[in-house]
Amino acid sequence: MFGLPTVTFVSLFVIWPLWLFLCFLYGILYKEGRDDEWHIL
Amino acid sequence: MAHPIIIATFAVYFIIVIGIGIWSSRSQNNIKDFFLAGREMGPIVVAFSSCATIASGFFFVGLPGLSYNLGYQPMLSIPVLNAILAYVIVYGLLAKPMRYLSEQHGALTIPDLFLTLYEDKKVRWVCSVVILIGIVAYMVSQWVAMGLMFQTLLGSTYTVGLIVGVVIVGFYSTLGGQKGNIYNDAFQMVVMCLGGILVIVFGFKAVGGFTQMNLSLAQVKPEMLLPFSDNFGLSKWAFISFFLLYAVGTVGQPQFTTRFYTIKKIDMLRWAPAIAATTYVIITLFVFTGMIYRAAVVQGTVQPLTNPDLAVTQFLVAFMPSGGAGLILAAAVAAIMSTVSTFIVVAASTVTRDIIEQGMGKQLSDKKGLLYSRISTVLLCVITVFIAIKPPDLVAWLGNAAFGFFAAGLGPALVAGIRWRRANKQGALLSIVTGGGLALILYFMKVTGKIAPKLDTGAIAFLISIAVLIIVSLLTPYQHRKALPQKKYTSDQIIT
Repeated sequence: MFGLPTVTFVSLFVIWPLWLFLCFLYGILYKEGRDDEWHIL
Repeated sequence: MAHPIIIATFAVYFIIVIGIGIWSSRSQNNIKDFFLAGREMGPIVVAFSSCATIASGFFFVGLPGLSYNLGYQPMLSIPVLNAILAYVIVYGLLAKPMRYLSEQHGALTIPDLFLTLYEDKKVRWVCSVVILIGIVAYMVSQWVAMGLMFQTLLGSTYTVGLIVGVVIVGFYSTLGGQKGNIYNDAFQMVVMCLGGILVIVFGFKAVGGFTQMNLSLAQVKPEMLLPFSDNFGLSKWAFISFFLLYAVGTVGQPQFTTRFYTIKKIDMLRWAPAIAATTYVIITLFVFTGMIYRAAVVQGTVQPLTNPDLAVTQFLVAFMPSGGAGLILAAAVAAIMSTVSTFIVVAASTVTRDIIEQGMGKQLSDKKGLLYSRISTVLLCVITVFIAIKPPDLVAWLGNAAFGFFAAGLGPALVAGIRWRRANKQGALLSIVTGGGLALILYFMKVTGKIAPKLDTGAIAFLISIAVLIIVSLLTPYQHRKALPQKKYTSDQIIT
């Protein structure tokens, strides 16, 4: 597609948007309030 | 001398940048205003600023140059598949706790936070030293890039170009502090995004479209279309190194993490990584300049480059109308300015707060604190510019090693300090010293030809720093650290 090998096509049009979505997922899963609590090992 | 329209575009750009600095100076009353922008920044400017700070001169000049030589490899290996992850990793691990701890414990700087987390002055001192070494080296490398850029633009000597750039950045950083810096970063980010979009529109038109560009690149070498290759360009080890440094290692970059202190309310951090990552995607389009130019060489419409770092400037000459070229040059200068101005404020805060106020125990009134901050800013500019006029090899090496130096020196201790209860001051201290020291030593051994590791030296130092922190913390007594959210302990867990 577009003269690109599959691995590059997938990188540009699947993984790149997926990584961007992860940043949006941070916002979606964010819990407001409880400022003094966070996960600690 | 550049085209009058390019000069005019630049003049407007500089007037806005300086205007923001003057406007921001009105609300500077104390060091909290100067370093943290009074903690009144909104999510959009903080997100834009964190993106602008990470996109340095290397992003806008070095990456297109590499892409001219190696095709998709640098673009896929750095911004597309790895560096963008930094936004979710760094915000996810650090943003909320750092902002909370900063306000709760009055931490104004990264060394302040280390003291809060580990309750040990030695950790704070070592952290301050690491920040100052890394930032001075980083600043010099950015000044050099800016001097070269202005040299091309003004048709002047390198020194004159350097001084013009420094005066502008130094002026708005000294007056406006962090607030001027963040608003300027946000403005510069808009300029960079416009630059990224213009490049795509005019560039693809010039080479017959996206597919045609790819087909032309494949004629040079099919490997230019791959993310990495063992036969040509970047290896899989380079790809892994970029992941370790640019995706994960960004946790140790003080120019990025100090942004979290400045946001008005903690919950405003919610959408900041999404905004920052979206703008990062747009400015990544800028990297296509190198590939488009190479495709045009294959198609016979332009001459091959003698120096790949000229990919952006030659692209502008060949494919852009003058106004657009001015905007794109402004975008490249904006990338350098936004990075270096953040370094200036972070370094000034380390000198004033961590060394003069906390280290030497000098009590500073609001007015004196602000004055000292501004004097530190000016002094840092003057010192680093003197070095940048004729930078010794050592400083140039330090500049190249600085990202790995911060990642290995500060990253593990900062993340473990916030996210791992078992981490203690001994582990943090040794991790900072070992990580920072190894990042420099291994880099010098590599450039002098003594070693040739497959993995980047900064990435190796980063991994060793993590291991040192874990091993030393487990081998030394448990430290009950008060800054962390409390939980119930059994008596045998609490030793100190």
